[in-house]
Amino acid sequence: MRALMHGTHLRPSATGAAQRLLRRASLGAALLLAALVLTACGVTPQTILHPTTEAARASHWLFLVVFWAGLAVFVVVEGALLYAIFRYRRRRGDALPAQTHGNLKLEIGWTIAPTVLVVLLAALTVPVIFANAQQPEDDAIRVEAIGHQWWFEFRYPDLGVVTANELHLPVGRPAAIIIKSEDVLHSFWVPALRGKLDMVPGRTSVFRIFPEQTGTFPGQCAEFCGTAHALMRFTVVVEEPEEFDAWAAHQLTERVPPTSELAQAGEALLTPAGCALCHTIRGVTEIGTIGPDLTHVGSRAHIAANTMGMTRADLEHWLRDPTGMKPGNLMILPRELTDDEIDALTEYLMGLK
Amino acid sequence: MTVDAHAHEEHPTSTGLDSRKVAMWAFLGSETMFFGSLILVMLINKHNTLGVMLGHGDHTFEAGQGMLDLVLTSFTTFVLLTSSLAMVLALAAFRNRSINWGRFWLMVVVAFGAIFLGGQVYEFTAFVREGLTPSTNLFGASFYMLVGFHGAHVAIGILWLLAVVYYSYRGRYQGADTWGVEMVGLYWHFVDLVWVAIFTLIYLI
Amino acid sequence: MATTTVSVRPNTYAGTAWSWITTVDHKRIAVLYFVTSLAFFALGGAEALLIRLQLSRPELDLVHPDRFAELFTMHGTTMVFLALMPLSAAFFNLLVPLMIGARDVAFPRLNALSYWVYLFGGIFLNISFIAGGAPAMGWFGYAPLTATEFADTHAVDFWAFGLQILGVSSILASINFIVTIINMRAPGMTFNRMPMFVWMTLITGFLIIFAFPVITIGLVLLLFDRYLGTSFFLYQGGGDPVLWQHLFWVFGHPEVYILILPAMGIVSDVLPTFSRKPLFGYAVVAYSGAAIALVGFGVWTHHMFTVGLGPVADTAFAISTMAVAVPTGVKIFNWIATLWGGSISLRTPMLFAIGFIAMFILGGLTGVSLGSPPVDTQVQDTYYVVAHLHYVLFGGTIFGLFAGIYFWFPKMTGRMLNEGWGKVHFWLMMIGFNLAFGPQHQLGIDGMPRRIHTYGADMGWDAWNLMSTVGAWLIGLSMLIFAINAIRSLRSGRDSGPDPWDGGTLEWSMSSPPPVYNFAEVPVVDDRYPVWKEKHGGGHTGAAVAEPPAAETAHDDDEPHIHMPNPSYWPVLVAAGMVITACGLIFHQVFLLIGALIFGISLIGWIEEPPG
Repeated sequence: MRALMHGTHLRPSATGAAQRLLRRASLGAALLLAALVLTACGVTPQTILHPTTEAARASHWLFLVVFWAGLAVFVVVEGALLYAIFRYRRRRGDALPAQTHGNLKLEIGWTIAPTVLVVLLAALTVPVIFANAQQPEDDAIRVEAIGHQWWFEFRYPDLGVVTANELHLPVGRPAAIIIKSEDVLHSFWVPALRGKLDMVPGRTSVFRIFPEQTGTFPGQCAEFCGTAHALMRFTVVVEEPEEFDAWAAHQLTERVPPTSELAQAGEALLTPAGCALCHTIRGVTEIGTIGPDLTHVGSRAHIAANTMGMTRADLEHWLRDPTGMKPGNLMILPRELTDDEIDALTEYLMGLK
Repeated sequence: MTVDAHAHEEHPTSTGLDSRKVAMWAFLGSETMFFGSLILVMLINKHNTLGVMLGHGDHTFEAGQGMLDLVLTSFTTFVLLTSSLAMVLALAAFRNRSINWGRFWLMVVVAFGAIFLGGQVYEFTAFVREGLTPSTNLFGASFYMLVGFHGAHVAIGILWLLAVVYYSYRGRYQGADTWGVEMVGLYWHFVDLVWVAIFTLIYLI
Repeated sequence: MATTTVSVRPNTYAGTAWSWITTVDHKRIAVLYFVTSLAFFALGGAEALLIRLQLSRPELDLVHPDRFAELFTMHGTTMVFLALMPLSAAFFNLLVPLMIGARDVAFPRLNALSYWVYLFGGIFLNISFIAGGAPAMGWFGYAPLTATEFADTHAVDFWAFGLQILGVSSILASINFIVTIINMRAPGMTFNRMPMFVWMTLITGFLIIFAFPVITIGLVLLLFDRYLGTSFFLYQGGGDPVLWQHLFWVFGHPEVYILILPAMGIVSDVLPTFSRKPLFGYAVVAYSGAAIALVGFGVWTHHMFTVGLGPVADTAFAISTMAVAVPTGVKIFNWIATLWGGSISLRTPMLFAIGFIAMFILGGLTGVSLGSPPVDTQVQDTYYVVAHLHYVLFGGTIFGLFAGIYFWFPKMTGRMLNEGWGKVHFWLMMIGFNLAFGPQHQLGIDGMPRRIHTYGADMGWDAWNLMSTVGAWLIGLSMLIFAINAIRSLRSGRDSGPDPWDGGTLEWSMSSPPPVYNFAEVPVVDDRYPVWKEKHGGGHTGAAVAEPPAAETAHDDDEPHIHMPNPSYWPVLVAAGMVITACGLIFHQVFLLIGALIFGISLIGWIEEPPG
């Protein structure tokens, strides 16, 4: 057993040092882990664990089924592995173990076991696939969701409303989300409402969302789409039908004319500062179609594809350095704005309720 | 310690097959996937109605196919298939040690291959004159890609055949070892076979 | 005994740099593959560490988003094509001829060509960093981000040409190993007696020659779109970006098995050695590998469940995907059964092999969850998938490959890796790995998308991300320990002798490192574990046999006269010509001409050179 003895003979010094290091390192790692787990329990608004629609609940339910079944398999198999390692650990003077080459019955058995599990899982999965593929009803409210680098445009073809990054839906009524892209791949994903669907240029996909609860649900682009992919978020606001109707009616109106002098100065800047080239503000300018429609931008809760708040400070930051706030941003100012101009534009935009 | 030399050439292989031949089969297996992918891309594009709608001018897939010169290509197809027969005769001649006949049939294969390629060059230039380029639409892209990829294979085959002819003058393939002819033969038959598939799918259907 | 083994260590690796450049010896080529792939592994790892640094806290600004995209694109590309695949190829090179009783591979010069094409291709791909920017669209290169409209530098061209070059290397190497395994087995080495690693190499070879052509065609179409104005993937011209996804994943999914099967083969040979028991259910393990490979060609759209291909396609591919779980599960059960009733010695290679099983189970289970489309549409493109793929490719492949490194390092170098530091490496890597990728499951469930360069503090993702970063750096530390251990052991490691682990397969019958000709006499094989049988008499007695069975040790100054293939400089020149041509397509036509000339002349030189 020469080879074996060679193997067990180690250099004492190196091994001793190594093992001490190992013990210390594992203790440190355990402490760090404990500390981090304690701090990791926060609020996660974009979780998939709080579904609010039937479709999302179905996904969630299947996830739990797979999770618990997987956990059971995991415990059993890892348990068997660990048991084998400890039980059959080599001891001094061990004879050669029995040289078994296999066992047909056992092997058939553990071929059948995963097969049964997988068939069960498939049987549970398939109905959900078809249920979630249900197409929206004829009376569903239709919304075109269009992906842009790097923001979401929402158009309601039946209502004539056009908005950005904030999708409003009435509760208790099915919605047909018509998914498109203007440039590259994006993905429409609001975990609380349902799984994601890719926005593919040249293709139109439709899926159904049936909101059951009012509230504001965050979403985010989930397909890499270039530089500012991380900064492409949106929200879905589900509200009572009356609120929704009021919102839609208001969105259809022209912009609220500025009242203060400062805001009026802001409106006067739209063309000289270059805003009008890309943005439409109905009632003032309707040439720009590249950027989001700003007619009622002040009524939205966020700016910059929902990565900044609709606040004076954030707006000022944004206008001062849009490319710095959102790298890769296609919003390129023809020139740097002066402090006064930024003041005026901020005042004006915040007033566009 | 005497060991019979050459681990590679003369040593009998586990299967009894020449290693180079096994390699060739593996390579042709890989080639099947190359052409398979290209043919599938073409079929997908053919059924991509969006592509037809967005095509420029009249060059939809059907219109593009209408431009194909079926008579000319049927003729060159016939020539290419006949060349496979000449290839068989060439190998048989080398195996019978009739080197001169072998060379003759190899040159026939070269000539037929060249006729086929000539037909393809003519077809390509005619299309370009009629305004169909790879960038015109999906039909142009798929057509030039698939037929051109095959044409490149024919061209490589011709170069290879010429090399075999050259080496036959350098004294190779004189004995029982005709592997060089066999290899190029395998390749040539494969390229012919692929053309049958392409011809059927692009020109006939 | 130790002193005699020292005296017979053959000078397999002696010689000048030139002898390395022109070598056609599979063992030297294996060394070249090991060194190169580990260097690229370090590079890809460094990229990962930067990625993790940027994500350690919310709203950090350490790395510009465009650089960040370059980092994750090159991290994926490097790890898949330049680190893991070539590291597997290093094992193919080192082991296949030794294990099947051959003196070399079927085509030694072609083997050298594969290596040089790989090396130059890898360098070519990374030149992009200093030549105007690296590719930044993800390793999967989804259209239309690869279109000229969105990527107007040469980054995508570097990527596309680079992958083509690497594809050539992989296909040539695979053909070589397929032929070697089919045709060069020693007498008696039937398919039914081949070591499991050789089986998995064979299956991987077939996967590569059938999967790579598909990506090659995809890349050709992409290059046509970029250079010739076609619209295969551009909707403006009638093309379809989804076509790229199909082509990519028809290749990409088998690619996953290309990455995992060699590691499975390694583990299947390490476990029996350290359990002193043959592999349980040999035939089933081999066939399940083939089954995984076969089914692997029919599951690709599970990467595309969110494209909206319709419920029928989703159902079909969900079922085929879940079917993969069966042969995979069978393999795991057989490995555990191999341990069962054995005499287990937890040496470092064994630790890594057990680590492979333990971690791969988790990757497999999350894979099943992703195979269910309703679940997938929620967690697709989130960190849940990042966690899953790393549990498969790191917890699986990398643990398996390290098992192989610790196991065969003595065979390759004649020296043992230090065992104590090996264990430190293992435990640190195990802890770091789980700390890095375990929390990412939770991040995905909490809704964190992949490939984002930053995230808001309001998302509740910061603690898990910090944990992940700490874990990643622990992995980095463990790799540093490995590197130091490897270098020190190379210089002053304990002499291994021919058979340090009491192994069973043919490679343990010869000196370490093996002599240039591998086998003085071609062995005749009559068992799956011929060396074991010789030592332990078919495995039915516990009697130890001290002498290694092969004859080499007795003949150290009586070199047998075996004709081995001559070195050749044509492979390196052909490879150079190929890559210079690719440079010509990107930089200046002059390179095109030079490259084509070098390529053509060296090809003729190659053909003219008398073989062997």
